[in-house]
Amino acid sequence: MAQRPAVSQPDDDAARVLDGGFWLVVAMAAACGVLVLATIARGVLAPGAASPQAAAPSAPPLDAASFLYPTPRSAPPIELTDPDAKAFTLGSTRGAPVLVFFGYTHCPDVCPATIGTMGLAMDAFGTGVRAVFVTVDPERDTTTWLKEYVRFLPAGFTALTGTDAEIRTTADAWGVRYARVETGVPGAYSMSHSAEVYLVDADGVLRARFPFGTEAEAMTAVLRKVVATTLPVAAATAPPTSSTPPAASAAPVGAMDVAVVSSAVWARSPGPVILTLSAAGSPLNDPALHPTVQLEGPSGDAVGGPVVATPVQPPGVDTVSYVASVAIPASGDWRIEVAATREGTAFAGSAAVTALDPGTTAPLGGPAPGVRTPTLDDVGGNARAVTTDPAPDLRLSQRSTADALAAGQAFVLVIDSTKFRVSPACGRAIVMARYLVDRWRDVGFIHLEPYRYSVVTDTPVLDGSLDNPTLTEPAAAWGIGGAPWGTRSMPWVFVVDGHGIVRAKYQGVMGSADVDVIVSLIEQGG
Amino acid sequence: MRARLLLLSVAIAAAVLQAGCSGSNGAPAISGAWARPGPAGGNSAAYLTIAGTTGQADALISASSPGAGMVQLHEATTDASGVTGMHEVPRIDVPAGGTVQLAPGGFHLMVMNLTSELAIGSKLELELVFEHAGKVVVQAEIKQG
Repeated sequence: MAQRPAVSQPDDDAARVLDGGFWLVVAMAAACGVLVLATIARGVLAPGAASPQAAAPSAPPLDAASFLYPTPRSAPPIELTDPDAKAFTLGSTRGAPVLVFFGYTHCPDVCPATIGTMGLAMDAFGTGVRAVFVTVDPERDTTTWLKEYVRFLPAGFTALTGTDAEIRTTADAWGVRYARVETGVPGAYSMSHSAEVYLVDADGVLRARFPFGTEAEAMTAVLRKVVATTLPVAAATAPPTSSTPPAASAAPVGAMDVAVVSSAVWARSPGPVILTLSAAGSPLNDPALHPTVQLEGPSGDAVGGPVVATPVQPPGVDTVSYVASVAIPASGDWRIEVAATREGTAFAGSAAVTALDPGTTAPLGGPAPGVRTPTLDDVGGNARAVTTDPAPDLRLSQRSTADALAAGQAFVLVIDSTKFRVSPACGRAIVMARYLVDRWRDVGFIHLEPYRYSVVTDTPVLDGSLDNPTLTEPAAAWGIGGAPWGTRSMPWVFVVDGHGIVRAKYQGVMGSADVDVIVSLIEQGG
Repeated sequence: MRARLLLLSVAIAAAVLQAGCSGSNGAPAISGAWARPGPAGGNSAAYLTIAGTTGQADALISASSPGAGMVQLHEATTDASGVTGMHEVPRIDVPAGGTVQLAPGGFHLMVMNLTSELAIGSKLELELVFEHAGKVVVQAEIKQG
């Protein structure tokens, strides 16, 4: 899993821009690119990067240094497949600087905008720069499809795909996060993903990172600077080309690729870690397999005992996921070793896992708070009083968590607001619930507004300010709002089983497949 | 006199045509419509500027195209950790006398499942539906952003 920096402190200006206030939306549209750049620069880059005041029509002053890594390191490996179905390694591009971007071809907006910017930067630089587009959607971006799509890429681009496990391993190594988000329309899912562009120099050293919205001029300037400054050899450590997948290092019999696909893994209480497994490039979609999972500390020492993972295959889904309940003592970077025996053959592999600090949120494995979330009936049928969604799905406001607990019904609590948005992920959890509610008719899907508001002439009006919003009583009862996740860390999703036990929780960007697997596990009695 | 009559009839015809295009009186003015190229079966995004021309607020509530399986109103967003995503929005409000810009990285029309390739230089017909003004048809120019 990739790192998740500073999600708990969403940018103030981003929140204001996304407040839902109409004029702010207009302002955002008018100055969109610059504002997004300024916002992201503040959220991601080192202090001293572009300030919100840079949201003027004129281009912000170029500060190439703000895009450079202070301590360059060897670029993580990329060993994938090109549109001609030939193997590609990043090492093959040695001798030329390379821009690297992770996206997907069905992405109509962010990806082509970024790819277009990369193309402009490459053109402005001159010749000799290459670019690599790595899909995070291998299901649709097959080699056949990529061959069709490369015509729409600027010159100098190579498009790459691979198996689910290969893509996940590559993205993890680069710190790229992605998750599938269902839209409710069959086959029309979208992907949420990190949209930064990386610059690898001619020696294979990762030198710079450009947040989404960076202008082509800035990329060109950084390219020039990087090409002009050769780093001391010491800065470039082991070349990435010779690296082998970590899974292969300790393989007794058969090497197995392990991908951690959980959107969130939490420290402290035992919680679910969702894995997909593959061997020799093919997924191990074996619903009878029960792999063993062992947590390891930074020095490779075993932590706790081995646990047996449960195979889960949600209805209509091809992939078999394996869910292990792993107790991770503290937040940070860990590894898991996975072993499985199939048809007399032993397989082993490992993967990195990043555990998040749950703060004060309702612990996994503990009872769900007995608080009552308001239903449509509770408020006399006035939908505005239970949801700020202008086109609400009222199925999400029929039952209270208290009703579900009393009835022994599994439920998914979605704490999210369409109108009072403190992070750009806001509103997406509700969209996900709308998709999942159709898949799981016996499970309660319950939406809760996180912040207190009043309804004034049919319009939700926030109590106080979005800078420091007041949580609704039920939201506070779930323990959100405490460090390290402030009141402005939204959305949250909690999955509770029929015994009233919290089984999974998510913050920010979450994959619908991830929640689907946990609900499926609960429904199959796991 | 004949010239004046001709002028009048041209004016009436123009007025009728305009009304015909907008579906009703006071349709928002659409300008700068463009869409990205894409392969048959793929997706594209369309962008445009909507200006409210009447004293009444309106909202874009849906869109469709003969060149696509489906068109949705979308918003792209980026969170503090640099993760971008997009989601469908039920409406895009147009204030009375104000302007809304659908632009890369923000609101856009998600054009899904293209029936044929969108080549640079060609056009894509878009049918926009407004809450009050009704249907407005525009031609989006296909180009790289």
